[in-house]
Amino acid sequence: MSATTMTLNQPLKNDRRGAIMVIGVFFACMMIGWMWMLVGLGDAMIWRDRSQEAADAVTYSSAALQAQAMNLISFINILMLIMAAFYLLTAFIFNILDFLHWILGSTTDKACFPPPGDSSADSRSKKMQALSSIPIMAWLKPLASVWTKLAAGVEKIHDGSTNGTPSTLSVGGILDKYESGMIFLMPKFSDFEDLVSYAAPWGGTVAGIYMSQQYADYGQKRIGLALSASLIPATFTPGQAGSLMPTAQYKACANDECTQFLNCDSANPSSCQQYTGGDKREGLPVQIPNGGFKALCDYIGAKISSVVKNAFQGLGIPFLGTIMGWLMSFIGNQFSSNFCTQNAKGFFTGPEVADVFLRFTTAWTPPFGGHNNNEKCPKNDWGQGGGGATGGPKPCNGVYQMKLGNGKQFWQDPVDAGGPHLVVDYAMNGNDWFQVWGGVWGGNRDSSQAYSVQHEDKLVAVAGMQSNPGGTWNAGLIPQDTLSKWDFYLAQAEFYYDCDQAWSGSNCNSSSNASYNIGWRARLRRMHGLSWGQDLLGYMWNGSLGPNSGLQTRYQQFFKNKFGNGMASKLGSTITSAGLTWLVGQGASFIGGAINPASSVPDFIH
Amino acid sequence: MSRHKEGLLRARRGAVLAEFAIAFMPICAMFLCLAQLSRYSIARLAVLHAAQVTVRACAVIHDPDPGHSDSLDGPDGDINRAADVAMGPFEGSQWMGEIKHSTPVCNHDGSNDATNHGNGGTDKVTLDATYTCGIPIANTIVCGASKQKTISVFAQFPHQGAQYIPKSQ
Repeated sequence: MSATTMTLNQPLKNDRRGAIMVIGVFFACMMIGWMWMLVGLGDAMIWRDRSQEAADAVTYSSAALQAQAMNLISFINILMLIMAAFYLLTAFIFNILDFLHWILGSTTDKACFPPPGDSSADSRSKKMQALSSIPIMAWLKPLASVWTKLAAGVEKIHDGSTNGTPSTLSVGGILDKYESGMIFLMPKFSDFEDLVSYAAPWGGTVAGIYMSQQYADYGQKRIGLALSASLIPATFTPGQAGSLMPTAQYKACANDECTQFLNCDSANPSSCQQYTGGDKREGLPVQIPNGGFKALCDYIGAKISSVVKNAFQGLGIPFLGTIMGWLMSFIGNQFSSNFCTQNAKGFFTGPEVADVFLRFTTAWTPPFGGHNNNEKCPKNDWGQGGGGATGGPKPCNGVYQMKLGNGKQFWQDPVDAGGPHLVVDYAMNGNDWFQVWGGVWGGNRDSSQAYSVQHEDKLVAVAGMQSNPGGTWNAGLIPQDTLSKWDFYLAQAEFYYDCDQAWSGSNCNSSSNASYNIGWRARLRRMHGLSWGQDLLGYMWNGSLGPNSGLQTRYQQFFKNKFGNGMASKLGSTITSAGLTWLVGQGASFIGGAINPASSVPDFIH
Repeated sequence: MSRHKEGLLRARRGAVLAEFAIAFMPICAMFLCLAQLSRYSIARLAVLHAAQVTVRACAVIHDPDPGHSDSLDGPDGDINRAADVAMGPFEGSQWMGEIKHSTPVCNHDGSNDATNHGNGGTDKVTLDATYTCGIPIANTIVCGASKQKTISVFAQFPHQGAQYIPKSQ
């Protein structure tokens, strides 16, 4: 009998072999269990960290893209600003030259009679010469002697002495070409800003979706989405208030609704406020201001005023900076209104100054000469009839009233011409208009598979807290089962104008530096639950668009319109007014309280 | 050689017991040590995860947070809370109740930006925890006579600041 046969035939109870192995197997199983748990915990932590990273990436991508878009808009605004500044400078120089040219006369508009061959400048010089023979007017003699030379010099700079369309090398010629370029380029810039402001938020969402796809674990891709208030524009017609969001559009006296009781009636027209507001936001929280391109001139004036004020304040002389600031502000406003409006005529608009001076220096007689004056203003004075006529040059007052190719106005026409895109007033750093909320789901193995992170992830915590006023932390930890609720990860980011002062300060307000500086950035923020009641419905109800812009006003005006006139005829307007105001106020409070609860999704640490 | 000695050498009875007595103790000790090391590794993983959660909280909520009425714990309290919550399941667990973390230290490196609140630089968190080895025999072998090990982990995250000042300030 072989040894093997003997072994097999031994009774099991007497077999001592393998006793250690039993213990070894037990230990090994235990160790495998430990290791399995260790691996599982590591996987769960990595999965959660990766999920949070994915949510951050999704959200931040959208916010960053929108910040870049805001920077792009600011950059284009700066380009517009430079163009407007050059225009203002050129227009002002031309305005002065035009005024001088008007007074001095032309040297190229020689006429055959009377006197033969005299230009308007010659004629005025001779009249002045004659006038200087009077003893008290003798001081005019030296002026008369250089008059023609002065006129020739001014004329050369003014229009190149062409006695016709200004030459290219003259100020008038430069202004001519420059205005053509402005009316071509700047509306195109505005259109491009429209495109950016509408497309960027959606581009951010697409970027977020793409980023979420890059975070795949266990072969499973994550699905992510970034949402922001900027995705929904308030208007689809740039420059014009949209009707998607609540807007009080009937506050103008001409509107039928405005003639209703308590709104605005013919007996008391001052009770009707002219309200042309409404939300003109185009996706991103920017809009074309009512003044269109005039806003550029306004900003230049304000900026120069601010710089001068600061410079003089630095001298330490009391009130000097403030006074200079006011002065520069006044001058800035004058520049804006005289060169950047639909009716702009430049300075020295009235004939009074020039005419008085002209008549004085020519002995109160009409200036002769210059009968063949064929001068044309730059851009042919936009059809204003300026230029030259019998008797010398005429002012080119219409040269600042630019028009588009289709004849519509360039200045103050936000719908047809466009304008710089400025941050809307109600969007401020930190508020919901600059926020992006994002979330990801997935990346975990299918629950049907044995190995997925949900086995150990109950040990990997998610922090949450209530965000009621005076919020408190949740007493316990939020359940961690990824198969139930916490498979969804959230993050919040914002784009903001990185201003080093308080946002309410003059240097950081919406239509000022924030719209003209490339200082927009993005950052992750603590996740605040979106307060639907406070933010979204509050926007609808209270109206974040300025006074009387929300549904609340509509509701109040509906009741007043519906019952006001009838009640007033029976109870009298005083009682009706007081009664209705109280009633609708109570109703508004009730409705406002009902849809505006102080509740929100809990905030999160992660 | 005497017959008695020859009999002892040939005897097979008790061999397994001797073998067991000799082999079991080291094997058992090794097993306990591995178990202790596993638990220590889990604790270290937990602290690392908590540090990562904390440093993100530090980066995100440390700076001004305008637009939000923050009547909660306040930035520092919330950063500490992040660590508490992340460590909660482990510190509150019966079988893993051997670890206690200290208050995390959140540092912002503002050298990359002009102000201490700007969006730049890196936030760093050092989170220390004391792990008490609880498995008999192995606790002394793995953790020494004090039966405790200090876990110190480090995590960093880009600072998410902003220069602008909230209205309230």
